[in-house]
Amino acid sequence: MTALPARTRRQSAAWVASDYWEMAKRSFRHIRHDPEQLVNVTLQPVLIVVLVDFLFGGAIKTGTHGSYINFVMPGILVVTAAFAAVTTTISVAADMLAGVIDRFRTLPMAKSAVITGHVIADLARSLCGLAVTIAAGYAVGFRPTAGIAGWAAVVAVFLLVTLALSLLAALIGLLGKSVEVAQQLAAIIIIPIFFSSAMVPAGTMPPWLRVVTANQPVTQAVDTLRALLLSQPPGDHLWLTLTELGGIVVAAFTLAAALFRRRNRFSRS
Amino acid sequence: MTCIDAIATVGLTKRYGKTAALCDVSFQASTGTVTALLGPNGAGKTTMVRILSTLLRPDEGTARVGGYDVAREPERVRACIGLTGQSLSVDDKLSGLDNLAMFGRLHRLPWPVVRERSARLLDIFDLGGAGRMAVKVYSGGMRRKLDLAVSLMAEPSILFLDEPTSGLDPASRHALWDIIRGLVAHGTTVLLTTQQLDEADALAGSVVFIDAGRVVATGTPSELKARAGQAWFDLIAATDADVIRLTAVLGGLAVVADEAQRLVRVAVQGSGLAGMQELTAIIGAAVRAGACIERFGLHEPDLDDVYFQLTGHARAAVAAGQAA
Repeated sequence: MTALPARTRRQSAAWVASDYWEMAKRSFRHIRHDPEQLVNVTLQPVLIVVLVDFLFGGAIKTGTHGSYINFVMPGILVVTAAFAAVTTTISVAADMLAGVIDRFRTLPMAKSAVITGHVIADLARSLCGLAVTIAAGYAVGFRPTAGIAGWAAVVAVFLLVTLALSLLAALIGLLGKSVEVAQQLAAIIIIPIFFSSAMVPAGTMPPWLRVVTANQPVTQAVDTLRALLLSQPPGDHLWLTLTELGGIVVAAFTLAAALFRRRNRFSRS
Repeated sequence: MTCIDAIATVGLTKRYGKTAALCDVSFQASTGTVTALLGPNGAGKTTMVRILSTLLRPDEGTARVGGYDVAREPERVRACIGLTGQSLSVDDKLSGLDNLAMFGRLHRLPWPVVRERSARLLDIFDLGGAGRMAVKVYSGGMRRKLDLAVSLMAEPSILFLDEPTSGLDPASRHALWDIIRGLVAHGTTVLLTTQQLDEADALAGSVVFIDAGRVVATGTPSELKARAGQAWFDLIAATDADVIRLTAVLGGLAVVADEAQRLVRVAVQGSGLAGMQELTAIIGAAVRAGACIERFGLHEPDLDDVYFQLTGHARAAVAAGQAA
């Protein structure tokens, strides 16, 4: 095909944005249709906050962070983002198996919108989870000291974490041969969170595990959120978080788009 | 852009592993006509539709839809086609109106056009009252209609319908046929797949008959029917003795098609007045021989006969048509 003139390309960028928005609206309507999928970001975070605080609160000494809840809240935020992301795995897997995917494929739309629509809805869902988690935290004694700029940074980092996890979740949704299989595979996203500084200080771990946990992106993100919430300087954690998660976002998006095209070509007969 | 053939394939071949779903298929569909892809289950009809609608790539051969090669310029093909697949291809968690609006926008139509067309299509398809309800609560017929309405949002010049009326009751089926006829009258090209021969007969200007991935016959429904041979007259005798009397008096013309049913079949050569004379002569001979006939019926070759002839399946013994 011949190269498109610049004006058409600008128009297409606007249309791609419109495609993303239409597909996001579709996901929002799915939430309205099945409000149960919000349990992940409403009831569940409350239960996690309460359980983690009462269960581990007495046993785990966190050193300089004050109370355990102040230490563990950033970890719980990442867990909330991860549970919100699992919904994307299920939505993408269900889409790939439904007849409606054939229509999306025969439309002159941006095909990546099939995935980004769910991801955008995921960002909104996890923002709801963020608010609920913070409120539940306050109820059990969480006292962050961040100012307005600090909170803005917390929300931004939290959304970046959600974006990365959500794209990984979409990737898993594309790999699953059925919704059930995809849902099982999605556990892969949850596990790394526990091998990080999210729930316990890395200092208590054996040295080999400390090397793994200290360098993985979840630890960087949790440490950044913890520093921001408690008004401490995030130091290198912030830049490492941005680059590591940014890398995951770019890689997962590229891979997901390629996988979608591949399944497009060799799809069900 | 005008071109005579809205759809043209040359030597189309598609394999799944070692089995060939399509083998060297060539056919054309003229602009503004209905072409029926007819064939038994597994003949390759859906594979053909999926290739033509850019969902599958052919292994060999070329297909042009609306003048564009489906493998080289799929985006241009997508801009001029609509597809109603075998399985429901709308979002059943959304309302009918939301589906129309979403797909209209994804077709990149401006909002005013989307609003006007959604309302008009709901009206045409008699879905106005259900527009704001989730598709999940629609009946099978309503879903089919909405599916077709969504396919029409961008006013495609070429429409693919994969078994559009399977699972519909007769009323919905005829309603859908009327809609399809209306579209074609306005210049849309329709390619439909069906196993229902009366559907091809009712709608299609030309029929492409495929079996086991190969084209086994093409032509208008009447051309194909002419191939299936002549008309015949079926007589059901009251007793076995009447069967013997009938065959005796009719001689070489009559064949006992089914002994258990006492079905005697007589070939009819003539048409019009000559045909009527033949029929009265047969009845007259039976009366003279004292052979009692319980029922009789005239059987014209239909696409069923073509189907059974071409697929090589034996046609089940057909009882005489209308009761005498």
